[in-house]
Amino acid sequence: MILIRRRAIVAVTLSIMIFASTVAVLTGLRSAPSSFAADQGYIISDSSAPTIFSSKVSTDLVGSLEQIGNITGAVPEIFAFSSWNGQSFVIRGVGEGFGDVGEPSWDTAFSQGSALIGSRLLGRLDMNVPFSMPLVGSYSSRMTVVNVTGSFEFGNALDDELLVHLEVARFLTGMPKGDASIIRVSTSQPEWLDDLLAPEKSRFTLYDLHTSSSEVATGQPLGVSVQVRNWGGHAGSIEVSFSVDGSVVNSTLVELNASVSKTISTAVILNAVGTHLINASIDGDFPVDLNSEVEVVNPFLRVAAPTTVLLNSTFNVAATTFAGDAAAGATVTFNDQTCVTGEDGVASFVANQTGAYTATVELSGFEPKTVTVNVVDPTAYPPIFLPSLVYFSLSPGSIKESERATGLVLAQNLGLIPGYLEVKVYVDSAVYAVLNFSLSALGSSTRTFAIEDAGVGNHVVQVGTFAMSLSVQAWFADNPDLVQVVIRYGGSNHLSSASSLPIYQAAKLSQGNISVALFAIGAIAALLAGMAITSVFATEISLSRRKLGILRTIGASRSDIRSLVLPQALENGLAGAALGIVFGVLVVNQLASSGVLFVFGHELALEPNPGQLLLILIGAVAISVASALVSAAIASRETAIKSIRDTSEESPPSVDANDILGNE
Amino acid sequence: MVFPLMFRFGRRARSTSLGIALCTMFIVASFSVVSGIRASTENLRDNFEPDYFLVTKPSSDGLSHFAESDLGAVAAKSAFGIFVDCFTLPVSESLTVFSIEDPSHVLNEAITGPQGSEVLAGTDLDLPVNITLGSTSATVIGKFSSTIFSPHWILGSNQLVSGLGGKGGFNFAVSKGLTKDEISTLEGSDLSVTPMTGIIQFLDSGIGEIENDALWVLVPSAFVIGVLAYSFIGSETADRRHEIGIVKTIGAGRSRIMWYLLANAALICAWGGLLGVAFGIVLSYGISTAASSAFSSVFIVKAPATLILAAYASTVLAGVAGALLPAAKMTLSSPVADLKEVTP
Repeated sequence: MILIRRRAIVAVTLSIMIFASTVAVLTGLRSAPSSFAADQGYIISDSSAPTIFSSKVSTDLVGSLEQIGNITGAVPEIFAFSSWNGQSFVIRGVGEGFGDVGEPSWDTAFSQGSALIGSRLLGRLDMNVPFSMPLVGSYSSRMTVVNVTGSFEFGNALDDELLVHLEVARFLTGMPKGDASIIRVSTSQPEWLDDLLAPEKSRFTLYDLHTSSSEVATGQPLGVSVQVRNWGGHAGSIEVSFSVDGSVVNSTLVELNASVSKTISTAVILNAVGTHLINASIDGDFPVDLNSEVEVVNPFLRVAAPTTVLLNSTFNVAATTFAGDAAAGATVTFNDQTCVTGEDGVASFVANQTGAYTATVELSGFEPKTVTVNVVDPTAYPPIFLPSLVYFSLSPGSIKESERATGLVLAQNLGLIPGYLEVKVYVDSAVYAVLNFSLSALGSSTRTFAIEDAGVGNHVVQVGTFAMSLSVQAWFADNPDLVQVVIRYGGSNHLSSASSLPIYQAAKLSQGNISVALFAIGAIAALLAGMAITSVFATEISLSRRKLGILRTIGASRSDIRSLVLPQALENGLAGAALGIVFGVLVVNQLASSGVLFVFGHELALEPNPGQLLLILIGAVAISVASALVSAAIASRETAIKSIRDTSEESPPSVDANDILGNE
Repeated sequence: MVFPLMFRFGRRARSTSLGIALCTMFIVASFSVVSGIRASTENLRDNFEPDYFLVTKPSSDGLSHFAESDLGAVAAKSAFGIFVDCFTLPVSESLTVFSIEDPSHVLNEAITGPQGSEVLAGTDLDLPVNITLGSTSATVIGKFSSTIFSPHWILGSNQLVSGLGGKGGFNFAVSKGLTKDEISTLEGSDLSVTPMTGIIQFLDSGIGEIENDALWVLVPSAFVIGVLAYSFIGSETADRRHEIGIVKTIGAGRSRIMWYLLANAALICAWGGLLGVAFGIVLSYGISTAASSAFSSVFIVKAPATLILAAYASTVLAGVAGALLPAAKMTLSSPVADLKEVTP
């Protein structure tokens, strides 16, 4: 006995077709931001920027990324937008390495005046390649022109864009030099990067390993510190180990809440002269090893004193330790005079006899240091101002990027006329500092300067005829790991997967707003689809009440009726849902190929998700069966006679035939 | 004509109208959210005022030349220019050379091209004094600075650039303060008018795209309303078939029966639609309040009257369309068959 007619299949098919298409559209809207990642790679953007267009990331990061083994490509990109002939579109300014990110790899070199156009954008503009196209500024009135020399079709969001040289997009947007909107990154190990980007437990890293000095005396304590950060989503603990030349000297268990950093310090004493390797490390999922080299020397003093002084004049002897610190409390002996240096490491003497004398500096723990000072009769020297540089030291000679080196310069006047001397300090042939000396007759003077912002690499520091080398090591040189790079550039939240770009914030909406709104729409769409299916099955059962009444009258139990309804509901529901999904996929494919749905200049990517479709199929069948069974159960409860008579407990309204016929 | 209530508007009618109300609520809330997005985006857009418009004449190879007179009255508030690409020696690079004439002082910067074969280089260009543009020798006498034109361009005289391009007239104009009517007039003359601040048109375009996408929510809602109306009229006509048969027998015409059935469907949908509009407005402001408190950004939701009317009209139309099939079937059936169906 047929209780549910085949027409129910039509209703289920239509409901599921529409719902499946709606879900695909909603999913496409949610994943729309990934179009700015060109569906390839990962994005480093400024998470504090209100929109992806106003994001600014230092392009220096590209160089750092390229040093990481798992990173196969990194390209700076600047987004601009322009319009022409009524069509608005996204411009992507791309830097070197664009072809290294994404598949297929693409060897692309842009000159400033050329551009390549995506196939879909070319179709919208209805142009024939090659052609000249004017471009306008993104945020202020500007214009330039590019020659579109070719088109491309990758089957992704790039097909809706115009690719230009990075500097063209920079001009259109006014992006400062050295910045880009995003850096797109590709990796040979996506699982590694995915795992890195979505830490659901505690994750630790070490950074900024510092030693109190790059050069230390034997037996002197050396301070070592390192920053440890939990960049994971939960609190946890990690053991940080310090070692010297491979031997662990200290281990500290560190407990940190999520997104919290802490400085861990220890002190070590090195007794052997030579170069030693200081190491800080953690184990775990992301082991980190940071290394720093320290030079251990026998402690020595540097002494600056004039080579020539005038009889009966006062002169200074300045003493510093090998590390560049003032040697306070040192005993200085000159001829028959003895003096102790002050906090500045300087001792003063009077040249009371002509001749060559030694000045000896002694300080406990340091080798004594001796210099020669000539005391001369002034009549033997010319009455002119005759300045010269007699001493220059730079300590230490090797520093980290964030450390400073101190220079000490001693100038002397070998004439009898006092005067002023200007000395320029050159770093790599460029003037770095200017030192001014006021020199009395046969007098001397010292000046110090600090170098604290030198770039990574080897530098030459030149003062007069003196020259010394300065080695500056990068902070991440010991461990150029991605985590280090990201933390250095402002935190792990600057790195995001392609699907979490803040593009929707162009409309002052957060990604959370959009997710909630889209989920709500999807939920309501599911409710509506369920309502349509329920309504149709309930109607079918309602129209079969008489048959059910007869069955009940002739002795059919409720379970018999359920047995009769269940296979029919299952059959109709399954057939309708399956057909609905097939037609839904066809509709989605049609929508995708027609390109009618756009979001922020990119065609909406509509791809049916097999998992979602299976869920829809199961849900539709379940709703069909449930609604049919519930309706049948309700109908079965009615008395058989009432079902057969097809009357209701509710009285029908009294219909006046005269009203219907229009009679007065 | 008296409007008869042919059906008992009991439990079935109540559940049907509630279902229709849910659908209408969905439409109203979706429209409101989209309207809110438009309002938010327009607020953002208002921060960018277009000073200038770029006027060009598109052609298959990119740009055509036009005369000053082609702009009509707009010519008085326009600066006219030409740009051409020239292979430049000794840098062996294709560079853009342009000229600009601004007799009405439209531009906010004084930029004047040199005379004869002398040119000025953009600030990003590092050119020797003597260069060759195509086959024409030119002398670089200095640099020009502009906030509007690319620093990678070369500025020359109109005579020089026209000679390089081999065409007279202009291929772009920069116009200031155009009205909508003036823009329409220019576009009617096959000219392209583009605000020189690209974000304005981009945001406008983005709003249109989102609204277009949001129309999709109408489809499932309208379909379900149609199905509900179909089910309601189908069930009611099945229940009341005998009575309708009597009405037919005593002389009611088919068109009248059809009218009555559709009118009843419209009544159900109208009532459900009203409920849905009320629910939708409440839901919209609920979303606005909840989202604004839950997230850092202000989530503006607007429920404009025109969209509410559109949602209401869609509800009634979808309901009537859904009722057409069972109503037509009932109308076309024989009164004898109707009377035989059930013995009351």
